[in-house]
Amino acid sequence: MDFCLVVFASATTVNRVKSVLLKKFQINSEIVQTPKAIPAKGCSYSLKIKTEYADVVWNLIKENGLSSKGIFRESNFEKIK
Amino acid sequence: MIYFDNAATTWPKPASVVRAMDECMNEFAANPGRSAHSHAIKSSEKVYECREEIAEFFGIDNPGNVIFTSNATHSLNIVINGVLNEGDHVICTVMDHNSVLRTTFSKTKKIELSFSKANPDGSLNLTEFESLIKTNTKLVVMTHVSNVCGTVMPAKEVADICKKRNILFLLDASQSAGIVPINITEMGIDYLAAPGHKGLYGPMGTGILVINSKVIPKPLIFGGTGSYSKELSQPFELPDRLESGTLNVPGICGLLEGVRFIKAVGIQQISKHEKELTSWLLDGLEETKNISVVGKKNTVGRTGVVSFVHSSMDCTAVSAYLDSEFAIATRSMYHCAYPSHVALGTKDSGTVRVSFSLFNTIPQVKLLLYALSKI
Ligand SMILES: Cc1ncc(COP(=O)(O)O)c(C=O)c1O
Repeated sequence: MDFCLVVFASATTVNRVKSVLLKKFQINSEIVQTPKAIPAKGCSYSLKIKTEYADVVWNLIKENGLSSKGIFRESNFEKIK
Repeated sequence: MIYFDNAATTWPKPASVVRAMDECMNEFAANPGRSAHSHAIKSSEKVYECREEIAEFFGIDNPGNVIFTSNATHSLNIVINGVLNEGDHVICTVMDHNSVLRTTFSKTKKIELSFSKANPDGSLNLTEFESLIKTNTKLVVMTHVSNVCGTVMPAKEVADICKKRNILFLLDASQSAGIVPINITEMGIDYLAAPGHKGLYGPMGTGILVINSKVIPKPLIFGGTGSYSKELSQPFELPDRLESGTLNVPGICGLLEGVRFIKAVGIQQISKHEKELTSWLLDGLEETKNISVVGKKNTVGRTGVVSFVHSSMDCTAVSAYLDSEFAIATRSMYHCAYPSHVALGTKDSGTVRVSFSLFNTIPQVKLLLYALSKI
């Protein structure tokens, strides 16, 4: 299974996106710490989701004006959004 | 104990509130938004659930605009200190609590302060209020319900005036949150400050600030947020901007269940129950020798906060008598709101205050009336 990490600075935003993904799109996700290899400005959280949902979550972020540091492939930390 | 001091803090709390706090303390009370182990994640999810519940409860879309504080005073201080700049003018009312009065007064070297007057029943005169507005009026702060006599203030009307005149409006919902329906988006309120520990049935040590304005107050305190850790400046993102330091997670878990409890019972039902008790009390007090009710004499335009005076026994003695002879808890004196007493005509006497919650009953009110008749 191919996963990606949606990176957020704030614990509130990561929880918000997790909650909306589940309630509105029935998409499950998991909150994890952002690996150090991904450039974030200090401590941060990521939402681990199946890569097939990357567009859904990216649109959600944009539509709601949320702040995210991007979406990265979990396997090699390549930036995909 | 018959507890009639719910305007100070509600007691007892719903069993679900106590259970949730116990579960948090015993099972996962780790620091939310700091680490990423399973307890820390669970903690941060609970905190978020509470934000979501409160955002919905007060009618805003973004749970990130719910700021957790330690009490209503803390929330009020954030806005009053965070939006006013030198030369600004702020309007409060004489019915406000010291948490508003002292906070605004403390800034009077740099800002101008005016007080809107009140009628003898604690209500506001909107024309007089509006006449206080000046070109530099930046903020209006008003209690939604008097903590002395329960009079409900015209929050929507004041919000409308503020919107028209481009003035920020901070509503102190300390005595109304959980008791009077409030939708801050529909009512046009910019900031709502409330304790978690009164009508929302959470524990002491919890408070909230709900923000519905593009004007974000400057932080009152600065520090760790678990986010943007490499940066020395405070993050701009809410709630982090206004929430430095470790949150009261056990308290927030309790508050979450408190809000769910209100939703399950229904705010209309809570308000109806308190009105019924208030009606019994007001009718009974009217027939009790030597007692006069302060403020509104019937149940219209008021909540279940009732003040009265005894013509021959001072208010502290009445409270002490009720406590020692009947195990009835009331509060006496000025209730941290002395200017209200000037308006209500009780500046020398203070008052005995009875305040209800959903857990009070008519037989309890009858016992209080009996006890008062025996003075
Ligand atoms: C109208 C009003 N405002 C503010 C407060 C302060 O609340 P807290 O003690 O939670 O800071 C109170 C408390 O009684 C109150 O009644």
